[in-house]
Amino acid sequence: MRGKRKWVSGMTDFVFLLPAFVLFTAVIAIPFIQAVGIAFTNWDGLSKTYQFNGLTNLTALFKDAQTANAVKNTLLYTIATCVGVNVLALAITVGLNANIIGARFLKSAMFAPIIASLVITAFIWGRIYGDVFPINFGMPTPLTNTKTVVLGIAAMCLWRDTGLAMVIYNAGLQSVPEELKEAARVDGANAWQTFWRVTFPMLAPAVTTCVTLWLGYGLKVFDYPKVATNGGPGKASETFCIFVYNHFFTNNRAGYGQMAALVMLIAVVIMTSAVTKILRKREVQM
Amino acid sequence: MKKKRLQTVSGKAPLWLTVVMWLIVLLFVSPFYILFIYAFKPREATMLSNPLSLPDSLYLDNFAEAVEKSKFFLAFKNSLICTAGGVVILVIVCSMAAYIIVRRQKSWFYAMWQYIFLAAVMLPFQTVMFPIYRNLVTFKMLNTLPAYILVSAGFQLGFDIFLYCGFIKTVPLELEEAAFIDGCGRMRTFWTIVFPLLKPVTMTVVVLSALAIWNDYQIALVVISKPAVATLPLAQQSFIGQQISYLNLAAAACLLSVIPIFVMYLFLQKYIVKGVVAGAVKG
Amino acid sequence: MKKLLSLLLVGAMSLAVLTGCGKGEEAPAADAPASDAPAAETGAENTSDEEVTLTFLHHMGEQGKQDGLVKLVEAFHEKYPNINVEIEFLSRDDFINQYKQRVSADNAPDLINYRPFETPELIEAGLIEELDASMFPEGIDQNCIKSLSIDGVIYGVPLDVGGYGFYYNINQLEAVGVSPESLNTRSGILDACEKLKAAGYTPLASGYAEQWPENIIIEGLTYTGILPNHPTLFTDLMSGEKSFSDYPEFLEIVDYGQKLVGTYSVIDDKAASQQASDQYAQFGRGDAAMMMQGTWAVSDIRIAQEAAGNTDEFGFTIYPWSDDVNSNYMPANADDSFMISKDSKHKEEALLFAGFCMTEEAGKIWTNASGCISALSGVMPDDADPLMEYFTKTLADHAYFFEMNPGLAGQYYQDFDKVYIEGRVAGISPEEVIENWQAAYDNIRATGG
Repeated sequence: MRGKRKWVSGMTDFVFLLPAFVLFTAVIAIPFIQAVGIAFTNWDGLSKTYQFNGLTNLTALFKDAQTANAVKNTLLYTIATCVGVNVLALAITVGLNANIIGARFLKSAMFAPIIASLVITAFIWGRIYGDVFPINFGMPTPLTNTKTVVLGIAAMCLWRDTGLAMVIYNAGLQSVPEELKEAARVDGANAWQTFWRVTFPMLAPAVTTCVTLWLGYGLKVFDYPKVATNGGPGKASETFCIFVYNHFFTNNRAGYGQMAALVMLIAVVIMTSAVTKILRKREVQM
Repeated sequence: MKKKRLQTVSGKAPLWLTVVMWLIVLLFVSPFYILFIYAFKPREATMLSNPLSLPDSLYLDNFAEAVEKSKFFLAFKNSLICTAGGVVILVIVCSMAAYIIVRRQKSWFYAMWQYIFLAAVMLPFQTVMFPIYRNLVTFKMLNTLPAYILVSAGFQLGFDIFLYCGFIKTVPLELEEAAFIDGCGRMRTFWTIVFPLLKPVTMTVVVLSALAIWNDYQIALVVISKPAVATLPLAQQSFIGQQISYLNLAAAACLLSVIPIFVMYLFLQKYIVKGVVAGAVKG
Repeated sequence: MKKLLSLLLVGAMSLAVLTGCGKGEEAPAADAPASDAPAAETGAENTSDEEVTLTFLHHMGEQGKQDGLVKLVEAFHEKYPNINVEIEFLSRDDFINQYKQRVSADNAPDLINYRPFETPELIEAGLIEELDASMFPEGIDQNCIKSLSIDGVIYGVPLDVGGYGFYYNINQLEAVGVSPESLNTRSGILDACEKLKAAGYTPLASGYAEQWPENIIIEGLTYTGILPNHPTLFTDLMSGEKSFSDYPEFLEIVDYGQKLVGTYSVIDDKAASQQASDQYAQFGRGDAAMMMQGTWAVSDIRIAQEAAGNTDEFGFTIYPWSDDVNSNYMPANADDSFMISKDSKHKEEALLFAGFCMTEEAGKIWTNASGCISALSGVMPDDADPLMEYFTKTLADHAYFFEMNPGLAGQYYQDFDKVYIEGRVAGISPEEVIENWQAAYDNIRATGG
């Protein structure tokens, strides 16, 4: 009797998970397993036959001079955007929360860029870099210089994503109890000190979330560089995801591309988990 | 030593800060100016040497042309269907899954799923794009809206479950326990008691997922290629060809696409804050 | 109130999803069952009135060409009322990727707008149908047909021909004392650029914030400079049998290309930021004296010209790589052409469509709508642009259909362009560019590409 009730309750509980389980399996898990299958072959994506070739793709990946280039570009982009977005979002949120006239309107306005789709963003920034920069700033577009192209693309991301991070930081700021801040002020702390000693530590969970999120976004970036420069000039802005994508189709090396994609997944998971762990520890300490 | 105060006697922020903040926000919004001037100029005007000049007059034909050539309304309808469908599915599926994960956290099975879903957030689309495509063809589901909705929802799953988990952790157990004692099963308890409490985070999930699906380009590129089922981002891109571009039409199409999502945001913004507080901030 | 609103939202969304699910199964007509194909064996007998729908996958973004396609399809449908042609557009970037995906998933479109030269891998994989020489009328340049063949087998059907060359502004050249005839040698071009620059004109219009306008520079120079004498150039470079340094012409070519863009085109920040559409407009407005571009640019040039109120006259000539007039050509190809998939389920009908496109009627429709030069000689558009005369003359006298010879494939093709552009942007010497090219190709071979 007892056992049957437990079983029914156990099944009911599983029903909660079931839809997510099915969707996940169909869209993510099964394709992933298929992907692993392709990664160990020499399939070019086109022919009807292919052969298993063991670890050849893996070793080739590490020998490939282009791999290092893609990794370098991705890391540069990730650091620029992760740091940039978080610093900017935090600074602007704090500024807006200091009882500015029209703060609510300004906060809504900051969300506007997120609404622009990628195509729109690339379009707008293409014109800004192409027309505004030379005329108004006397600078050529950063997208044609191999040294500045990644930063130019990072700027596009900063424009678009800061608003989103602000939403998270804003929520975090508003959950900092006023009493703490008042107490600090009464004790003689100025605004800067209040922020660093009281507010910022209370923001630790928000910081963890934001930094982890944008770390992930940065490492996985595909859309921005693809639409802005298609990895150019040359390969100066080829991020890892574009590297993978190109091998799938343009270069007819599906097996190789799939292997690169898998290695990338592992790297992303490791990096993101490590960073999250460190930040969570810091949270606790705070 | 002069102490810098962030508040003047009246309680409002000092003038310099107000001005700086307004300028910064204005800077962020200003790029949209470009969208406006290109959308309101005829094509010839976009070829003149000063591209940033204000349009001579409000040329409205771009909108009509863009709508007709990109089958804008059709794409709009498709985007709406996919976004709405995806959001509904995500809200239902993720809230349920997150609920059981949080409530049965002691069980290794459910705790494991929390990490699996989290890992899915980090999965780049390119890793599974190719197998997904081939599977869709095998099941003859290519170029169908339901397939697009399901794939998009699948990729949002991890993040939304993460948000729900965070919030559900803050929902007190007592309410549910009371319901159990009264004889309610888990399912009924969830839908009648817990879910209504999840409104704030549901709104967050709605807004963020809707944004993601509405603006998605990568997945649409793989799953959709027939104009009958095209979504807005594909329609926007259609004006930017390799050798010849119709920037005025592209701008008009883009402008039209931005309006509905902005309206939605205006309606739902206060909910986002509440949901984010719990989901992302309290950890 | 809030509760009501959210309930309404959810209700509306659910309704939309339900209706959406129904509407999502659109285009049922496109999936004519495969069993029909064997039944319709006899080509001319389309009185077997089954409705057949062909899929035509293309990447032509220009409005004129899209209109032309629609008109062609309509005219074809009038002749063969039981055959429909469904036109699908895909942007060029992802075109081949998408096609390959479809093929590998047994979903190949019947007609695909791409040239054999650009995708040898498709031909090698046996995915494209071989065509019979008899379907092409006499009025088509044999070299054009050759350029659509690989190893002597014809795969492509041309709609028009085109190529790249130098557009020039007659008025501005006159003003600095340069005669258009002198533009058919390399030194002539460089000399003209110098004179223009000295007189304060912008020698070359720039669109080089985008990559493809620069791609056609290095490609055009290589196709006309080295390929005619070394037809197996690309196969040898890819296989590693020959290296870049085996061809001293590359040094001249790279140097020349770098000069054209670096010294005479990208002269200031603004020029460095121009995209391709800006390039056409720049030339059309009269802000630059010459432009290295393709014959497809005509309509946009004219639009910009009219908008700016510019009344200068324009001309067009070849794209010289050397000082020997006789070995300078105009790189030409069958710009818009299509192929038939071997896995097509309606091959007979697809062949009918191809045959139709080779008629004068079709040729006229196409050239009128698209403004391009018809592949069928003698077919001129009704309202020919003055530049048309220049095009047809240059083609007749100097065309080199470089696609007669095998081209670069996959990653080799990508790296060829990218390494060159990176080199020009970084300002390195031609010797270094050659080294980088070789290194890139060695890398591809070493990593199993």
